[in-house]
Amino acid sequence: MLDQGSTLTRRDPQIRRAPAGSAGLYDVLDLILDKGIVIDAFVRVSLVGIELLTVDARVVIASVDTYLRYAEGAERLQLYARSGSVSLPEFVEDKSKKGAASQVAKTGAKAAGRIFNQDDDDEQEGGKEKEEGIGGTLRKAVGKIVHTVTGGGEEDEDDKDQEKEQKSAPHGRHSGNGSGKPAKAGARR
Amino acid sequence: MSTYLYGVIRRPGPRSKLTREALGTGVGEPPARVRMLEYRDIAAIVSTVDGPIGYDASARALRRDMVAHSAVQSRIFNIRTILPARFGLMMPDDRTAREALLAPQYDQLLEDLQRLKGKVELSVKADYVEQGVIRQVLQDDPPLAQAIAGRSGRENYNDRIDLGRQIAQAIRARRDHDAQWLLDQIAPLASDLVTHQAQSELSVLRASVLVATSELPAFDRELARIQEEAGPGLRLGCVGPLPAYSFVSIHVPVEEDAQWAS
Repeated sequence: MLDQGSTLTRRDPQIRRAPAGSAGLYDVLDLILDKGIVIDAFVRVSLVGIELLTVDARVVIASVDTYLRYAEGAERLQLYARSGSVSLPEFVEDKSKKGAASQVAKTGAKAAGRIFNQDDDDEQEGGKEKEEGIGGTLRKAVGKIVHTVTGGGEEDEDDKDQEKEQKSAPHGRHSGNGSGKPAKAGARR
Repeated sequence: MSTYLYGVIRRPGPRSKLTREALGTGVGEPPARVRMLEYRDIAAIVSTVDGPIGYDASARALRRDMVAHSAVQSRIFNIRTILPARFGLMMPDDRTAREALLAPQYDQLLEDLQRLKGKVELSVKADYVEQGVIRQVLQDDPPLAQAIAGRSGRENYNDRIDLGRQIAQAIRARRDHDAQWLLDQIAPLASDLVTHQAQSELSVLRASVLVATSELPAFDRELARIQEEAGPGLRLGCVGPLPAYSFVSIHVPVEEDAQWAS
């Protein structure tokens, strides 16, 4: 037990308050979905899913933010690798061929690639760019839920390589959740 | 065409920093200009939406719109007090926004704005660190620790499950106590405080704290102290400052005879 104190001081010299915005959507998700001004008559907004699928939708969106973090990590890696001959996407493909980690890494690498092409971190513009890479992942994941619940629909126009990813996308991407989304959504129907 | 609501503010004066530029754009594709819908001393922050929002458009749009929604709110929040609206409030038109919200809730809106002026929401969470809390559990329960020390590690399956169950029970028993302790530590610094449902086995506390902007440095220091006292078994996190989502009291129920209800 002797090392407890020193471990703490070494690892957590201080708890830092994360400024809003830096933390990503996940941290405000519950707040913007559950709190604030509510006018019942007008909450009918086209959130087809949210009422029914709140939890699943949150899990999906949360994982998108995880992907964004991976993307940032991948970006840092790329900075180191830049001088070498192996580009990050290749590196990722080689090192991880299967499973959720691979999927995440690929998504991350793709997003990172897009992030490279812009040099300002303006939230609005930046977010839009990233959406290209992240959106596909989100759409695929949510698509499954929507499909289960509505019995069809939500067949988004998707480019070829995203479709390919979908085939290899494992079911248990949200392993932290412990249950497959489709089964869950179906059960709630 | 409908009117999408982001929140309500006090009507800004002519020299306000809340320019057209600061309002920026909001939800939808392409994102529409955010504008103010003024009414007496208050103003609703809205944008015109033409077409579906969120899920109806696509899942990608859902996230994009959520990000846009909170981005608009935080831009305004950086300039002045805002009563943030929940994501996805869409009214048929501006007139309805006035008749369903601004006019009937006028006094309450003003009161909320006054109460929340100069204050921000901080989202505080505390989670057990698995290894750390197990260590603390064993530290506080010598018989249990001894029982484990005496094991060979080759017991049968059921014994191991039983051991895990004892630890889980001990963690659960700590949780209420630790949550209360945390609340006692945080409460003196808060103008207001609400707790939210804990989300997992290892989650100890989810709370929103209302704090005066001027008190933020003091709050940070306190949080650091609390973290230090809590030890390595408990990890505190804090996000903010945020608009005071959890402290807005405006909830307009559906009225059968309301003229805007379709």
